[in-house]
Amino acid sequence: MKANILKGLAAFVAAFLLGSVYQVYSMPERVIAQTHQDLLDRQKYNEIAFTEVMFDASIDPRSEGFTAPQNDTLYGAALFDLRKEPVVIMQGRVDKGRYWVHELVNERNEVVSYIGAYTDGFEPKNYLLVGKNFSGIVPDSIDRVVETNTDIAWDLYRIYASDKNDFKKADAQRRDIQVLTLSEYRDRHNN
Amino acid sequence: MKVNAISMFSIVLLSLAGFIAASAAAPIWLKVYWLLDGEDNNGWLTNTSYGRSDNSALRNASNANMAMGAHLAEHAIYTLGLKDSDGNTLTGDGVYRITLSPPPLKPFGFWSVTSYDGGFPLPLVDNPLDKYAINSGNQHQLSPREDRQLSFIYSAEKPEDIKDEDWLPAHPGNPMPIFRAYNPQPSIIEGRWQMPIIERIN
Repeated sequence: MKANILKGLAAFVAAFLLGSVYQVYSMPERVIAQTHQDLLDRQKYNEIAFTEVMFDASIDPRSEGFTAPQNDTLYGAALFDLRKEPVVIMQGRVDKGRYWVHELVNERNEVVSYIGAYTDGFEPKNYLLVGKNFSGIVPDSIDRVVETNTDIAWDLYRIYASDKNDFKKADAQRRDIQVLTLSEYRDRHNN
Repeated sequence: MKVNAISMFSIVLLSLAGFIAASAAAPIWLKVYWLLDGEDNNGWLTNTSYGRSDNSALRNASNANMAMGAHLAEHAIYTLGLKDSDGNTLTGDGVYRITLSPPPLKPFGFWSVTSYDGGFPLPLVDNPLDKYAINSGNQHQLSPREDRQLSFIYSAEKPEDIKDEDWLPAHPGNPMPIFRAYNPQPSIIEGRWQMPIIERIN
């Protein structure tokens, strides 16, 4: 009887330890897969969407898929599918000096590229986002090619808004972003 | 024989229970690990490993569990305010003075000290002023000091003699300020810049 209890206890502890190792090694992929799924429940691939309001205490961060959101930052998100072809991020004009950034995260929760005020300034520009095996021709009207090392990339967009009075202005500037697949972009721009 | 079959069934069942317990426990102990992982600087915990590809598996798991999508340190620094300058954990009944020099930033960066309820998922703190942060945008509203430092009160209740502009409302049960610097200069990333001082004054 005592031996059986010890065997049972050993089985529980061994499974707990193995389970914990599995949890640690699989956590990044599982969490980001869930993040991708949450995004796809609300929007399509290659479509950028934005949080509708400035975060305040009345908003449960979980309802927007956030941890520790900021009040002075407006957010957006897109999930880019680069398996068939690249996408073009057509970034609109932003007030000079206003912080903005596209942070591109791969399928392992690693940050792979940035597009933003610090690296790219405030004028409208077109960015070609390419996956790991891209080898095509880049249209002349593309200002910069941005590479990722996986074929699915998560874009976390942020733009600074000082307060509620500034919200409308910052909101309009983030909604000036367009995302097209490369073939859609070629059709539209005839190149 | 029958006894052995029952015993084997129990072992399988307990193994399954162990595996399920591990999946339930992991997010909890990974949060504890996250709250310990980083450099302690004046009671602020700074983790510069977010978004990197060269982290340990444990750190990757902890960061994914608590800080999905956080920036690389070269682009933003996140620090959790956990202790005051005497090394004591921040408490809801504390009245704190937070003092900092203007953070050194690269062009077009901004900084903020945002007030959170320290319980997951770190919501902003309800308060009568609808005020959630002291930051680059409102720092000019702080009362000026001769030493040009920036200083404000962080407490759940506003002390009577303090102006609204000089107060950042704290959570009454579980206060946690987070200092962020977007486009930080290397001196912040490398810990050479003096993190804000959190001084208990009551």
